[in-house]
Amino acid sequence: MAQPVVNLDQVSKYFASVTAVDRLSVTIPHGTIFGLLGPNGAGKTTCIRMVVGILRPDQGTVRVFGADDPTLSKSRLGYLPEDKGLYKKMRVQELVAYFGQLKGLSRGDARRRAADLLDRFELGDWCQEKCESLSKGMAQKVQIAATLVHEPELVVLDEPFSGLDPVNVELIRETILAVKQSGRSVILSTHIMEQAEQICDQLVLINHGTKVLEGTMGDLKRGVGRTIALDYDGDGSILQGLAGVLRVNDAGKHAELTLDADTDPQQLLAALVGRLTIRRFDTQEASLHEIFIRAVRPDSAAPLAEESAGAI
Amino acid sequence: MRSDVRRALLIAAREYLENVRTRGFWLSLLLLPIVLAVLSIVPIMLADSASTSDYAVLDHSGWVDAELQKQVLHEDLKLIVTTLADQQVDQRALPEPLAGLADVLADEGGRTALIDQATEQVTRYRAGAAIPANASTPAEQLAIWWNDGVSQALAVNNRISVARYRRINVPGADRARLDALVEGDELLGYFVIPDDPVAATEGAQYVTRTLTNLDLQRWYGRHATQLVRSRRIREENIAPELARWIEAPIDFRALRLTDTGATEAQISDTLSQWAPVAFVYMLWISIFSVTQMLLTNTVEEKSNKLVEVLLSSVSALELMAGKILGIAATGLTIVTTWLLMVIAAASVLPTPAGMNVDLVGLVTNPIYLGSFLVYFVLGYLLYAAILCGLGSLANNLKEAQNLMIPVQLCLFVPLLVVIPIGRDPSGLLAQVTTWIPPLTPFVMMNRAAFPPGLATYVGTTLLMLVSIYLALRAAARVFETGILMTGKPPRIKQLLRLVMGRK
Repeated sequence: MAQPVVNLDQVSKYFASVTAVDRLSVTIPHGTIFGLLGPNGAGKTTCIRMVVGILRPDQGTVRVFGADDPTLSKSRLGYLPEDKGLYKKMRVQELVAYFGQLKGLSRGDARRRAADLLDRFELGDWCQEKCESLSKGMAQKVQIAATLVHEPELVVLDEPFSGLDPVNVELIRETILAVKQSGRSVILSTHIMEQAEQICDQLVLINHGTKVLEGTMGDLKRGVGRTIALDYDGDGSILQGLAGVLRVNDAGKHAELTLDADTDPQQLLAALVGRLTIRRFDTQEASLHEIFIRAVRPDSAAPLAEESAGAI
Repeated sequence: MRSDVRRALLIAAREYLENVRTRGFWLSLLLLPIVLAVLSIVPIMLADSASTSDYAVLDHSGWVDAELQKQVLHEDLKLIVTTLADQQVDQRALPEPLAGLADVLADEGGRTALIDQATEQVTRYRAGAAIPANASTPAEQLAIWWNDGVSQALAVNNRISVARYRRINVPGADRARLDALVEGDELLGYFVIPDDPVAATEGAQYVTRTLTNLDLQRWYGRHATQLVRSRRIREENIAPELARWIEAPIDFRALRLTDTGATEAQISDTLSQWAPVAFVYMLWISIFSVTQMLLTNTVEEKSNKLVEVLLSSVSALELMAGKILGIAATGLTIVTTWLLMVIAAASVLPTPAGMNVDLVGLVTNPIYLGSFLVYFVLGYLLYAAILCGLGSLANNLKEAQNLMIPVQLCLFVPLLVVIPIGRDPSGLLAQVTTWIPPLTPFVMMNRAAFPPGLATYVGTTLLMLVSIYLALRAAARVFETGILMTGKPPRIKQLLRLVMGRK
């Protein structure tokens, strides 16, 4: 079995009186897309910064590619932080090549690879333009190119979908999958559950700096029970307080309902007919969103940690 | 090459190229010396070309003003003749109409007679005597040339009195008429000379609207006093030699003591001893502007959200070192360009009349140039370390400016002490400030005209190197944490904890 790319062992990190990460242990296997999930302020970015060698843990060990000191592995990593910028006065190809050189590529190699990558991202005509002339979408593509130019063995993406238009969301998705297909690994930090659910092989959910759930998608869903997926038109407020419904995640036109063990979905359907126009009524495995909500909310309907096979 | 050094150099190269590749950089680089040159030359030009002060005289004595005009003429002609003689020594050609004076100018006795005779000649012309078409004597040649107009005399020496003060003849004028001319700004002022200034000087007056400009009053007063004094000496039958002896001031001749003994002090010696002051100003401008550039750059990089990506590729120390090196190279480009411009300007600018100064030699003095470059690097590194650390704590330029206030106050001290130290380069002030690291580069540059002993050079260099090392170490600790900080900048207590390496 291949060596894990990252191993966090009882890692803690403090900022003054705040505990950002608390005795966290996570192992990220080689060749997977690993989701690092959690609400805002859960400690995801701090974890990532320790993995990429920007921060040092106050306790515990962070091993990257087997080395105790992550700073030694910087050239094997590609990191796209949540807050990202460009040198406005630099030319596009020059900028991508510069980041390649910082990762150890020779000047010639870096320039050649930058040109190839920008071509692939349909930015070939923009190579000699200054970054300040790029649109927001183009700038995001350039940032991704700068992350990947040295073909890193581990790509770390912190909230990569935030603020992206659908075209660029698709580009990132394809890029993540391409990295995995080439046998390399990806750490994806996000709070957009749908994206994580679609592409992550394994997940860890953290909250207040501690691990809440861990496992594959199957592990997490196993034992959680099924929910009802409902697409409807009408006044969704009637969903609240229905007999036998433990939780409602209502998005306005779509809702996910968690029933108690004794409630038959047919009874629920009967209760809704005539009160809402129902376009879809389906039983399904609980969504990651539902699992996430249950895990981070103290008033969640069921003690999920006990139900989930992958729970700690 | 070690990979950490390679990465720091890559960052330095990017910083350097980003700065020097812009047109704005070169424009501002050229603009500053031009602005400074204009600021220093314009007042001199304005002073040189200052409009002539017109004045009139109500002379109730009947003799003071006439003799005074003759005395002024004599002084002006003496200035011209002396300058022409100096030009002849320097083998520079005399003005064409004065070519015949060559022999007379070569002889001191001849020059004295020439001045006296030409003064008489011009006075006669002023009184209405006919001016001959061709001069028969050198004195006549000079008198005719002088009478032709002031502009050609000014070209020889612009310090002649007639260029600054012009007596206006107002026939039949009384006080009311002269008051009106002063009111109408046609005269700067007028003098009233009493009936008998030899007996009593009461009643001597200078009437003007402009009390801020008293040059004319002093100049005319000096000449009038001299004349009245001579007349009194004559009337009291005091022998002129005795009077001169009584009046003779003690004239301390300035001698410059060098290794080879005392020699006559030249204007070039004075300039040479003040040159370090100019270098201090240039050093100050260089260090101030370059460290500001570093601060702005650090804050911008942090607010541009680039730092996090960079830190995933390089360490905080490599990033800081790269930035400091890159901006140092930018700074060296700036100061080298300025130095070359100063040397070029010194080699093409004409030497001022009457001054025998080697301007190029002055600005290329190895001690001055060497001190300038060494103290630029040392001073820059010290301030760069401090500003890089502080800049990493700020989220925007406003916060950075607030953090900068103590450093700016420190940087203003050299400006306050530069002149006192220039006057007394070995005094207590110089000796104390030499050993205060933030001031050391400026004060040592300031003292370059009278270099302190080798021990001071070695001691202060070691002091600077230790200070730079400590500042860089503290800055690296602050930078490592500060560059990723958001929110309010830390308070003093928190900053000290960062400096000490405690979280």
